[in-house]
Amino acid sequence: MSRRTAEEGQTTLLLVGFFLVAALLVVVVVDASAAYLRRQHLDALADGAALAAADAIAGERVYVGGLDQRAEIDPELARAHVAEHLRAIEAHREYPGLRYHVRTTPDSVEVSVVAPLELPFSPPGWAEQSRVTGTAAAFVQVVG
Amino acid sequence: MRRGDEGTALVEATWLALLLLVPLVYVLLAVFDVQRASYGVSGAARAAARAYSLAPDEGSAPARARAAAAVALHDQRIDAEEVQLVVSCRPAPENCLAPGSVIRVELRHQLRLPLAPAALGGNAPSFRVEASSTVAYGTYREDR
Repeated sequence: MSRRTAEEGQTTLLLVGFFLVAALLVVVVVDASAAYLRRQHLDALADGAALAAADAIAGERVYVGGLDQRAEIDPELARAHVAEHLRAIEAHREYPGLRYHVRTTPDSVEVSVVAPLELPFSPPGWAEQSRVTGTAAAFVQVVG
Repeated sequence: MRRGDEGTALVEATWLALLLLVPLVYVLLAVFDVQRASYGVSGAARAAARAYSLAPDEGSAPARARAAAAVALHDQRIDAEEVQLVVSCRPAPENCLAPGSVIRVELRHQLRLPLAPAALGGNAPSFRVEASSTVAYGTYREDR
């Protein structure tokens, strides 16, 4: 009889416990897919920025030395093109705290954009801000 | 008194489970529906902008963009007919495939929440998901 009393209400507790675990899993999945979605947006943003940066051909070198098999990219100009592209599409308004990094080789540009993400459900006590990065590269090819 | 309570734990547990699970499952369905649409729309915007900028001529570009968007939307089981696709270009809106042009594709989709009764008609709860993608055509490319 005493055993019976001690276990009373256990099923309800168990159910509430299961529900909490399920809710926690939902939080993880929703947060993860929100982060993935943000990465998809940032990938598209980086894609556009890389294409805009690929326009930054070192014009002077082409005019002076002629156009060979390769049109060289000017790193400074590439950076300026990325900044101009992001400004023109108002990316900083859409993704506050957006930062970008441009890496160039003579015939390619790689653009990484990093933006903080406000998670839909942040765990209590989570002070750190999540950051999502999108990366894209563009190559310059001389045709004709 | 004790006898009268026997078996009620099972009934309580069942009710509790239903009460907790039904809203959880509905929230999950709704969240994933919105996120699915969001993935589809953002992927489609990127595909459409690329397809537009790679089209052989100005005449076929809108149809190509729409076809590319439809493929990406179909992946997420979204009807392309329900999605609004707007292409705008600067600096010249009528000549998108010109050197120095920047092509912007915007997609909008009004998503009805799952299991919304048809009787609500246009007032059914819905979410709007939108995405845009901007692609630079390139300064050193041939006018099409």
